[in-house]
Amino acid sequence: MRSVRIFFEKKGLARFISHLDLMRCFSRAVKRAGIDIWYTEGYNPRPYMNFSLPLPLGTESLCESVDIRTNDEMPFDEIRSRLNSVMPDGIYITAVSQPLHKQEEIALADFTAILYTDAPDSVANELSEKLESAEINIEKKAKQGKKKVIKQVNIKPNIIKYSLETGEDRVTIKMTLTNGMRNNTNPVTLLAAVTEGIADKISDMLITKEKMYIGNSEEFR
Amino acid sequence: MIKPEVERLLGRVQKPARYTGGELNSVIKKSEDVRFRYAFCFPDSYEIGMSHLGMKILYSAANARDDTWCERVFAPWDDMEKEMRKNGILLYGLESGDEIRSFDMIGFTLMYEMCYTNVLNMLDLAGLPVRSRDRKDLTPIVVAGGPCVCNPEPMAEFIDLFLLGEGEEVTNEVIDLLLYHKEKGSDKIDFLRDAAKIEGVYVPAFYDVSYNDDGTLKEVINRETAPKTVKKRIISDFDGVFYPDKFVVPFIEVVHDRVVSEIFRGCIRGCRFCQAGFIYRPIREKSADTVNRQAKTLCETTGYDEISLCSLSTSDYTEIEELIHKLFNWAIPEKINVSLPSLRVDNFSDELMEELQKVRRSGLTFAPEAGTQRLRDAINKNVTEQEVIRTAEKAFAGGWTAVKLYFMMGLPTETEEDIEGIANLAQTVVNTFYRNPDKPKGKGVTVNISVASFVPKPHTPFQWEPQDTGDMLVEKQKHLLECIKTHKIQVSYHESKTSLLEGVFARGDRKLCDVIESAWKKGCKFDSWDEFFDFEKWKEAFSEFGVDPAFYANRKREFSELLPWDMFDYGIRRKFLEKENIKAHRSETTPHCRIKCAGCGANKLNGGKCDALS
Repeated sequence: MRSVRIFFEKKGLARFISHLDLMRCFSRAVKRAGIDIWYTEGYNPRPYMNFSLPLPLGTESLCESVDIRTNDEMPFDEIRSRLNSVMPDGIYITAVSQPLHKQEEIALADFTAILYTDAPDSVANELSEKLESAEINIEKKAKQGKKKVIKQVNIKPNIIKYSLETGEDRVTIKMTLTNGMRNNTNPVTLLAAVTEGIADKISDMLITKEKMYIGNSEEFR
Repeated sequence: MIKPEVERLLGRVQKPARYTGGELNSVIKKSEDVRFRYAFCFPDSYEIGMSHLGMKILYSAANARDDTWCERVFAPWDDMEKEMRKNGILLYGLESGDEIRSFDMIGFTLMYEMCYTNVLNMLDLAGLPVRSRDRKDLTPIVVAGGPCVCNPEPMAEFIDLFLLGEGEEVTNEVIDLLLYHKEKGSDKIDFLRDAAKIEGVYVPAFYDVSYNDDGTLKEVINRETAPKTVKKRIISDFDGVFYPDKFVVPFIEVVHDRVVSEIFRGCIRGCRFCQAGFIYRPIREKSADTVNRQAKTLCETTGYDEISLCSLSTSDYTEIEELIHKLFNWAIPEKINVSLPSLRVDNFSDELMEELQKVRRSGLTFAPEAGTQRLRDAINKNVTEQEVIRTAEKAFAGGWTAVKLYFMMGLPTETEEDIEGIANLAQTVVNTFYRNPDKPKGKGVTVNISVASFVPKPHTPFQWEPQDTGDMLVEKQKHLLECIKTHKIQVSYHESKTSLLEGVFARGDRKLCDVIESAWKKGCKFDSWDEFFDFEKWKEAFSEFGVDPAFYANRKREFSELLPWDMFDYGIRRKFLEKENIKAHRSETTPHCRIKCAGCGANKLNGGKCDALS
């Protein structure tokens, strides 16, 4: 049995495949590809697959990863080409390798958000004002004992850095956010918070996750 | 590929993958390479429609033609419909993203009566008039098939032509004919005249219907080229019939998300309440080799890890043991699960039981349908209490601890005693569990009883029977709950108001077209979904046109009455149904077709051949 890490892109219409659906999609693809995947040994054996982090629905990614285990030593290149020949449009395997880091080590990620608008300058102004303010509060569902409560959380500290760029029909935000199992930042929630009040100026929005890093800013591999 | 203006809406709706297309094995062609565009519409949500075997078959069959591109269309959920209407987006095919109003043919499958308003809503979302007579152009022609077409009269004003019976062959004939007329530049009426000559095609516009003063049907006069009676189509060589080698594999989880292998059509049982048991006759089987080969191919092309055998009664398949053996041979090593729905209790063999132990086990389901032997005899469900208990014993000995029992309520001749019988039978099954010396330690038993409300359906021996009113059903449900003494028995039952409507449309006539249109205009849609069903609106629609639902649902018909579906020949002789009805009232059974041919007449559809007799 061997551990294999698969890196893939999830773009275009495939961004509308939810995390749960993606897991099903992968397990079928692995079957169609004829990869000898290791099954869990419980009451209901299922192919072992461990995705790094769920991607918000509607968000594109160039750096998704999933760990599987194979019973044989099929070359990484062959796994990659076999999977690519059976994957639906929009999911593309970029690399297959031996895992270097632990998934728990993921700490940061780069995102690009393109906001389409007729008024790029005024949107950019509003955005930088919001992004520069001392607190960016979002509502989070939490539990207080057994009670479900809504908590205000300041996610400003989660923004490591950002930059704004205006184009003819758009504002592009590049940002590095905390990511991972401990202090994950959902870019969709963040953008909803910073576009509050100007949502009607934005006709469409596309968020792409570009890269994942471990604690010391080394790229996750 | 869907259009950017649609893609923009998807961030605002639930389960956007319902609307994207692009699923594995969806068929993409170039519009300039084909001469015929066909929108296959399922008038319910994506999750329901994508589970439907008929759609998978007919989608693949149409796409097997080089000149045709068939696409899938489902009813958009409420949130998407709002976005579409707000942004001026018309209903599109999932494969191309093109508006279906520019297609040549739009086909609906009518699986259940409660989807009728969705058909109207989808036509409207497509930007088309809902009434056939208001669609003047030759294309798109709106066709409909499926089981409800055995009495399509409530939808007669909306659909241009109905396809009766099995669609694999007749669809191609209609496509060929429409192509011919399209290229010739014919009018719609010219095409319909020719279409009405095809066996299995019903063109409602060519029939004039008149009524007696009491509201019953007086006369139906066929005009133009239309035949007096329309005979349903069947596939004669079922072993050789087209079957897909690929299924579209959805991204989101749908109701039946697995490989489905059809093993036979028709049924030998003759349960008198069961429409499917009559309208799909005569019985025709596929060989175990064919089924095994098709299942294996589908597993390879889809990556599914489950196969389900599909038929009305799996254990009546003559090659069942051979098939299970063949399937298990390759499926088990590949960790593919095989599920066998519709297993009947009375011919569960030890060998079969042992084979079944090998695969993942889920709940066990039996359908005694009625609580007492007398009523089971009346409905011709030839299952005895001893058989139910014997099977339950086997199942419990095999480690099962949950059993589901299906019953019906409101069956003809039903009395209080029969209702009590349901509770008693469930209790007997519970007791059987505790009598079993090898029962699993520390585990209790759960007996779930699901009680459906009986709806009399056309082309069955009960087509003349009154349906129980909502009040009667509620009374019976209350009585049943009073009879249940243990929490080990869980009861679930259906909403009686939906059953009433189902009954009205099942045995309805053309007077209901106005009601359906009015209810739809009031906002009725997704009527089979509790969150949408609005009985008050339906009541308003009925009273608006002076139509009494009870006339259709709760009225006993005489044998002498002309029924709206008498003009549709499903192969079953009316005299046979009458005889079966009389026998039901005497609680007399009819042996199944392999014991003795009851002479229903369906074999005539197949040149006298019936697999039950061979």
